[in-house]
Amino acid sequence: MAIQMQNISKDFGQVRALKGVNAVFGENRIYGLLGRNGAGKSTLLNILTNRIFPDEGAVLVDGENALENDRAQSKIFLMSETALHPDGMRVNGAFRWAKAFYPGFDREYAEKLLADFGLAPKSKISGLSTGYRSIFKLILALSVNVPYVLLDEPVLGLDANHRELFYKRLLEKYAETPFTVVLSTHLIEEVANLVEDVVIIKDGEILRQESRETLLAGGYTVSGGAAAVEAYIQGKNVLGVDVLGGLRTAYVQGVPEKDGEAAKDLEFGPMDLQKLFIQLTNS
Amino acid sequence: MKIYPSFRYQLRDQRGAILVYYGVLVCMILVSLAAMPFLSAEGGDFVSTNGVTAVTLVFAFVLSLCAFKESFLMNLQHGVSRRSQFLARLGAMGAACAVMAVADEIYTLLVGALHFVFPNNFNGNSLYEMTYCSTPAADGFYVQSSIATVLLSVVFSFFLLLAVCSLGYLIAVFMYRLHKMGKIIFWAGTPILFILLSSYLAAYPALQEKVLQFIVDAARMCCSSLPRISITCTLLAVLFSTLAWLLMRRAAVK
Amino acid sequence: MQKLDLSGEKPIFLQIAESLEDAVLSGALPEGGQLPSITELSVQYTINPATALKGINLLVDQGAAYKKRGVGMFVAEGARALLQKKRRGEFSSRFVAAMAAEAKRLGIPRQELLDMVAREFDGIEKGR
Repeated sequence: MAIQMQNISKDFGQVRALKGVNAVFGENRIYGLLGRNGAGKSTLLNILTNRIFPDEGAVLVDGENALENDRAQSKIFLMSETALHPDGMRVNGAFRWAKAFYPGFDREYAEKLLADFGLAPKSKISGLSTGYRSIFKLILALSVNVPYVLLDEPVLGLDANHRELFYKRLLEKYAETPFTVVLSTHLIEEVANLVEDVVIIKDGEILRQESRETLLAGGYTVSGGAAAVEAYIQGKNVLGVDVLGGLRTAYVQGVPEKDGEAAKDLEFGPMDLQKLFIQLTNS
Repeated sequence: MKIYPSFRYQLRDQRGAILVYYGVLVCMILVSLAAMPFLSAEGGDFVSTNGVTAVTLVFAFVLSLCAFKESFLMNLQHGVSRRSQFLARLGAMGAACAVMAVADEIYTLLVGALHFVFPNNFNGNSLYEMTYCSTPAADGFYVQSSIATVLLSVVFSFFLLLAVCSLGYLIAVFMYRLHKMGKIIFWAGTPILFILLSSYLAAYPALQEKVLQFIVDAARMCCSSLPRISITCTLLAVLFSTLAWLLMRRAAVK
Repeated sequence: MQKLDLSGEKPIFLQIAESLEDAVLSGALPEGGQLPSITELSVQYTINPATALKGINLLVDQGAAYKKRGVGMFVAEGARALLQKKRRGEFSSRFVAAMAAEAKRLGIPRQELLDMVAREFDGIEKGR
């Protein structure tokens, strides 16, 4: 049970938005789909949900081709940055239709969330601020009860309290009835500890796809005086180096070699996701 | 399968506008009745016209022009395939046309009933009756109404509405698929083409004569009786809808 | 419970385990008492439930906690003594080594360091 992306490519005119993407969103896991602005995150999610067509490749949902397939699509819900609801629609109207299209939609829970976030059910969706529009879409996504929930920039415009509240509600829901969550974002720090698996996308290509733990365990930081660090990283797979005066911090892939002569006076530390991401996606 | 909820959505999407339209028609009758004391009973001051379906056709066309974009996006948000959306649209369009055809006839009968009270001010004949059942008379024309013509009026209106709605929807999908430049070219190009064509024809009177004759003949063949116009409208609806589907099946979110 | 250092050097699951151990050592979580559930921990700290589970499992592996099927996780009898023993074992390497190294860097003489430790120790005793 999974969403499988097989060799997906997509061009927009001269721009190659996706180049042969192969990835999997497995069952009941929380994914971070991480990439800088314009890396192709939204394009990929829009292809998964049949909103745009890939030039090449296929999407399988639980083994079934998802292209123009109602049954496959009824297992996915995408909360995209652009709202697809009509202008005049109100929040409670949107809930009513969500229930009509997704029988598993939990109206009661959705209304409870409305109260938690302080959003009036009679508000017009088009009249909401960016933050509240995000909240509206998050509530839909949390209440819809489908196996795959895709969230594109979920916390756009949310203040710190609402972000915290959203993450807590998401985790509660996830603990109660696990489902697959894909958090597509460029705000890595926010979701770093929330996600179990990481998919890093850059210029339309998947750079990394593994569990956060494996990803972080595969690298380390080493810092110290410029000369010592430069000497140590010779011949190693270095992702990047931060410079601070005469100090250097290098991001290195592999296992630290703390015993050698070159490691004297150096400090070793674990890789953190945000740093790793920045080093990997710097062009 | 999501055809049914999509059908419900697309029908509901049009409901408000249809209710408002008939609300306005009924209000117009009420206003006319209120104005009755000030009108001449001798005739001449007609306040309600025959063939309301002619107006409804325009309304239905505009309604269909607005039936695509928002509904398409809303349906995609809820994981409805284009195929299901299109099938649901056909159903919703058929239902809306049936409702409007019946409503037109009810309106016509209502005005017809007022004709008995105010014979010189109200005249309630359906478009069908005027087209196929009227004979010239001394004071304009004479219309023979019956139960049969009432029923046939509904059929006639239904098929006309169906063709017009299909055309409106086709144009709506076409406009959605066009890029901004394409839209400009289309809206500017169509009238220019029309003007060029007509001036070209004007320069060749013999050709113009032939073309006009052809149009008249074709119109006679397609529209000269209820069965003929029903078939013509059905064929047009099928043609427009097929084209709309070909455009819609590859439509993407913009 | 204390705040986690989410961006810090130490893996989150270790921090979870340590904060639970601290709570057992201080008596905030009594022996035989129930541990917070995976859900509670994950929601409280907004971390992935798998991470929270990994943290709790560290306690289970040491024998400081056990699972009652269908009920939840509980602090084992004798967990406090067990953890104290473990922490004592780690004490020198975790705290004293770092302190000694820093004292060395700052050039604090050995006797002065020992006096400082004695003073702090007495201070805590008196404060109690």
